[in-house]
Amino acid sequence: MTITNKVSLKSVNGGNTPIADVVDAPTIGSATAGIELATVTFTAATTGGAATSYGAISTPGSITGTSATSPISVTGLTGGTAYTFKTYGINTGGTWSNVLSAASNSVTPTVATAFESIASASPAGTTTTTFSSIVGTYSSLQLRINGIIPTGLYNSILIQFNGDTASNYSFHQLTGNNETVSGSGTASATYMVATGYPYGSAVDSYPTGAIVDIHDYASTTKFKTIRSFAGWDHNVTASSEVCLHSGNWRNTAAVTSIRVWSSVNFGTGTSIALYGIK
Amino acid sequence: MAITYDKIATTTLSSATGTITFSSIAASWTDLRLVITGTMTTGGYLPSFIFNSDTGTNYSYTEIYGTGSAAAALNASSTNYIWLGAGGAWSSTIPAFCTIDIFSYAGSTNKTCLYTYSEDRNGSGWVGKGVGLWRSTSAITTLTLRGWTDATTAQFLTGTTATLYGILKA
Repeated sequence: MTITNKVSLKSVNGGNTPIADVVDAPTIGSATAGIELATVTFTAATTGGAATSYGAISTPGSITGTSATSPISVTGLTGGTAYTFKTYGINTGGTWSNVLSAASNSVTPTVATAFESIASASPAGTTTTTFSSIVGTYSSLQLRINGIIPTGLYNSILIQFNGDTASNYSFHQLTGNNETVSGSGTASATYMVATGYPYGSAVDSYPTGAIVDIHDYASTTKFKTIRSFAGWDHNVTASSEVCLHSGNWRNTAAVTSIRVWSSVNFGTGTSIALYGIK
Repeated sequence: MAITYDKIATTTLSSATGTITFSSIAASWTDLRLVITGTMTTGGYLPSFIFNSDTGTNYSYTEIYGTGSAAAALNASSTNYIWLGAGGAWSSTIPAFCTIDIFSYAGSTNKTCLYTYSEDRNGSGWVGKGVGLWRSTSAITTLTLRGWTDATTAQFLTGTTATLYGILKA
């Protein structure tokens, strides 16, 4: 929002008589850049009139955001442009402080891209990572996994959606190792496979790599289709494998959480990251 | 703030060359992704790739691939490189299209990558996917593609394009 009117009460009456509900300016905190936005922290003034909300205004652009409490999010910024911000209080009449705070530090929001990082985890020593509160603002989701399972253990890396542990999943797979290619499928499973089934995942300290795509995950009318491309090479013929999976979650609800787990603890160095694709 | 999916470097060959090298790769991202499309010297050659100029027997790979009539798998251990599609070969006229995803390339684990290759030749060709391992815990700072297993036997031809991307997690 760009400023169109910032007349203060003090300026209206000529500044001769203090007016009780004029809000003094907050003290600026710091600004932090996001994707085409910034968040600005402040400390409310202890003098002057009561504020019902607070605002931050950018330089350049005079783009504003408001909030009842700190921090204030200012959206609509241009990625790659440096901004500073000043804050102000707003009284019950919608009138601003007659002075603004000092300027914040300079920040440069990033450019919005078609491929964005949502969340990540390093679940060493645990069996499970859950990404929750996934917003529906993307077209597809992608999990990228560098998975390590400690020496002597093995298991597939599996996923479930929205806490659904019922038999609403199915998948089929194409796998290959040193000599053979095979295909198989599983109906009415209680999970989707991210990496190899029934073969083990990584042993020793050789990571399993996996890329899992979940298409049209926010649809509320369609079942969800998943594909994964995964592999692990152990520098020995017997236990190395590459696999492709196609899966289905027979549910029309939007995917809002994803549980990624193995029956044994992930090892040090495991990384599981969730991305959104617009 | 770094961008989640960022182009690190790209090259389009203006003349034939035996190697394409991305060096001084910063540790600013989580994963790397290489996309290459191109042609190669006649003779049934295909690229290989190595990390940090390591030509020791520290690599291995496993892949599945299909032709117009069959599917197969292969595996190799303790190699000096990873073939970018051992099941196929590049054409000198019809571009091949390949990708390499390298996970946690700057981390302290051994390095796993997933690669794909698509090499249709209007009546023949190959499609395949594989996993490669580099048994090193060093951060990857250099990625070298070679026309064969060395820099001189075969060359990437003019017009070949290779782009390296960085993917950053939250």
